[in-house]
This record gives sequence, structure tokens and C-alpha cells, in this order.
Amino acid sequence: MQARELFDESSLIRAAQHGDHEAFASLIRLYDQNVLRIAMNLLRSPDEARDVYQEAFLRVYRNLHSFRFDCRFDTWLYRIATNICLDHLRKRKVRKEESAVVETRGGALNLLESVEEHRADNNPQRRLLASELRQRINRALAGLTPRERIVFELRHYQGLRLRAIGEALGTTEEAAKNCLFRATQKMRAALGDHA
Amino acid sequence: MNTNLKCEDCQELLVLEAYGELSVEQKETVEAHVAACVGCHEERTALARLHAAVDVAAIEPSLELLSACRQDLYREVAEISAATRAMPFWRRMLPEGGFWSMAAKPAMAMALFAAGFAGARLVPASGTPGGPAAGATMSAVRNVRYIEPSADGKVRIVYDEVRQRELTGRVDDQGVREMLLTATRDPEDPGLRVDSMEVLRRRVEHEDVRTALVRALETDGNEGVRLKALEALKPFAGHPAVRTALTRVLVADKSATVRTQTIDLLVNTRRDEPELAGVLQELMRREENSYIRQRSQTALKAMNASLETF
Ligand SMILES: [Zn+2]
Repeated sequence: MQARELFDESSLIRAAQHGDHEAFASLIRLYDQNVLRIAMNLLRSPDEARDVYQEAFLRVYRNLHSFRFDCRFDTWLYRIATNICLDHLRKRKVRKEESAVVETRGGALNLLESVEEHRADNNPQRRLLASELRQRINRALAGLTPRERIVFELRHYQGLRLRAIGEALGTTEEAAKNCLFRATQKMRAALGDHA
Repeated sequence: MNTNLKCEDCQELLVLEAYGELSVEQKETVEAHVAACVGCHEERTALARLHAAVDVAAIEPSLELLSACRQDLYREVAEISAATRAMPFWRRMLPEGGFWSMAAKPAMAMALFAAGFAGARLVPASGTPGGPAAGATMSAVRNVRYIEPSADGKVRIVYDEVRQRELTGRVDDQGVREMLLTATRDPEDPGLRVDSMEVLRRRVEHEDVRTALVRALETDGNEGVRLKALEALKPFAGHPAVRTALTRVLVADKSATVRTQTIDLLVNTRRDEPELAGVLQELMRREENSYIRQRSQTALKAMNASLETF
């Protein structure tokens, strides 16, 4: 099963490297939901997540010919995507625009809502508590450094192993482990009794 | 087995334990310590609470957002590939500026070299004396792929040649059908995509045709092409896969014209569908086009669904 998937993935990559657009589209579909989820959870803004998606896969498209199979394709892809997310987080910090709430651009279609909002919870009390907690967590996440945040998100929301995270960030498993540790400590301190 | 684990070290391991990142041996050490240490036991409980709380804040991006992202990307890739086709081969191999770190640059240069080398070996066998230099007419040259000046003043050029061929047959002939299906995805010419759909719509009862039409409806960057696909799918608007695609288009398509025609089609062919009611209620909240809002309201009333509850 695993072997078959790997085989399919590498033949998709090869076909896409030779300019096969269908293969490129299929390759993207294997991972694009993950990339979008990472961007969405890291940036908490659908508009920015959409920009990251576009930027990441265009880089993949433009640079796929240089992919040499010397690491896993998803590691390569996550490295590209997380670098772009890091840039976005750093720019925000510089502009002091860091905001814990999910931003909206308004516009024609409100693509901004997440599925989670649709999960109807009929208990208003519980809904209020959940939304308060969510805001606290968003604030706590905003208090992490971009790198701590990426490690925390990749491990917590994406379920990547620390070794894979280290690879994706171009660092060691040990460094990723330290980041995760610091992030957890900060989150605990920020959330206090609410956690 | 290390029984002298310090609380500080134990708590570090507990963070990893929560993510299942401990080895069997580490896990045993932690268990032994926690069983005997109240502080670390509490620490473990607090971590579990933190995890549960953080899970609440997880965001799952909506399918509409995903579909909008895909449309952005396909549009951009189609544009790039149309633009690069007119660009010399070697220029296409140049990396975009800024992205590659200094460390990655040598790898880039290698890639450029390797691609150039591969290109050179792809010279067709017709490169015999009196071959391309004498035989190539300008009209047959689609684009020049590779140029290599040599010391003796000559130039070696590798180019693509366009050979036009004709194929006549019935729509059901496999070769014809495949050619038509390929044309629905032509990256450059929307006119060709529309023409192929006009022929294929007569075979919309075939699944491969419907798949191609649905794909065009959901991903084609050209509004006219999407409208054509929608029109061709009309007779199958009640088909589950088509219907699912239609509801996605209704919330995700950028064009109000496409959304308007989609809601008309969905509403005119509706049966008793709770899913459709859900999508229509969703539309009432976020659709900016008043016709579409009104249309979904009318349909909802007819479906006897409440406007308030979801
Ligand atoms: Zn202890």
C-alpha cells in the first residue's frame, strides 16, 4: 500500500517535471489540503492562507525541475510552505499588526468562515465558552516566536513527527524538540487555569 | 533503567509523551517517576488539559476556500505556461530570483546544466546532412528550444516542429473521443475548450465526458468555458456527482453569472434535499448577489425549510 503510493507519487513528480499539467494537478491534490490547513492554523487568516497556498505551489511549479528525490517530496513542499508562513509571521511582527482574531477582507464571497464554525453547537453557553477559549488560545499562540509557533502547529495540528519538522525547517530534531518544549511552556503560562 | 530521574527532566519528557514521541524505555522511566511523584503527576494532567484546549482552536479550512485556492493556482499556472511557451528554452530554466538561498544555488546551476545537456541529446535523428538546415520551413517551426554556438562560427539549433494532421471520425471512436477530452483541457485556447465541449455534450451520458465537464466547471479560469460546461451538464443535473459539484460551484465560483445559472439549474431540478437546503441557507448569509439570494429564499420556502435553523 505504502509502496504503491510512493511509486505513484514519484511517477507523478516525474511526469510533472516533464510538463504534464494533469500530473502536476494530481500531485498538488495529494497535499494541498494539508498545506492550506497549516497556513490557516498558523496565520489564522483565510486571505493570508490563500496567498500562502498560491505562493507555495507556484514555487513548487517553478522549481519542480530541480527536485532531485534526495528528500521526501512532502518534506520539500512543507519546507517551502513553512518558509512562506514564517515570512508572513515575521512581516506581521515588524508591522506590529499581529492580531489574535481571524481577520476578514469582506468581499464578494465570504470564504473566510471555516468548517469549524459550521459545526453547529446548539448550546449557546458552550458556544460562548468555546469562543472565549479560542480567543485566549489565539492570543497565546500569537505570543510564541514564529519558529516556536510553526513547530507547535506542525506537531499539534498537522501531526508531523519532530524529525520531519526538523527536516522541513532545515534544522535538527533536537532543535525542533527544544522549540516544542518552549512553546508548550509559554502556552501553559499564557493559558493559566483556562487550559 | 534510570530511577533517579529529576522532576525537571521528567517534565520535559512529559511534553514529548503527550505527542507520542517517547521511546519505550523513556516511557517506562516516566511512568515509574510519575507513579511516585505528585508534582509530575499534576503536570501530566495539566498538559492533557492544555492539549484538549488547544484542539478546540484547531481550524479546518472550508472546502470552498480550498476550491478557490485551486482555481487561483490553475489559472496562474495556465498563464505561466502559456507565457513560457513563447520563451526560449534556456530562459525557462532560470530560477526566479530571491527564493533560493545561497546554499541552494550550486544545485540550481547543476540543474540548469543537466537540463541543457539532456536537451542537446534530444536532437532528432533527422539531423543528418541536408536535414533541418535544408528542410525546415519557417512555418513548421513552432519554437526554438536550444541554441549552441560553436567555435567554427556555426550554430546548432534544436527546435520543435509542428506537424498538422487530420483526424475524421465519429465521436464514439476512441481516438476521436480522447482527442476531444484532451482539447477540453487545452491550456491556451478557451475557444478550443468550448468547441470540444459543444461536441462532447452529445455524449454526456458517458462518465469520462461528465468528469471532464465537471473538472472544467470547477477549475477553468475562463468564465465562458465554465458556462459551456454547465450548459452541457444540464441533462445530468440530478446525478449525485454532478449535483455535488454544482453545490460547490454555487458557493465558490467568482462569477455571479455562473452562480446565477447554477442556482437556477439546482432549484429547477430539486427534489427533497436536506443538503441543498443547507447550502441555500448558507447562501442567504454570504451571497452578495440579490437575485441569487432571492432565488434561494424562494426555493427554501418551497422546500419548507426554516430560514433560521441550520
Ligand atoms: Zn517529579
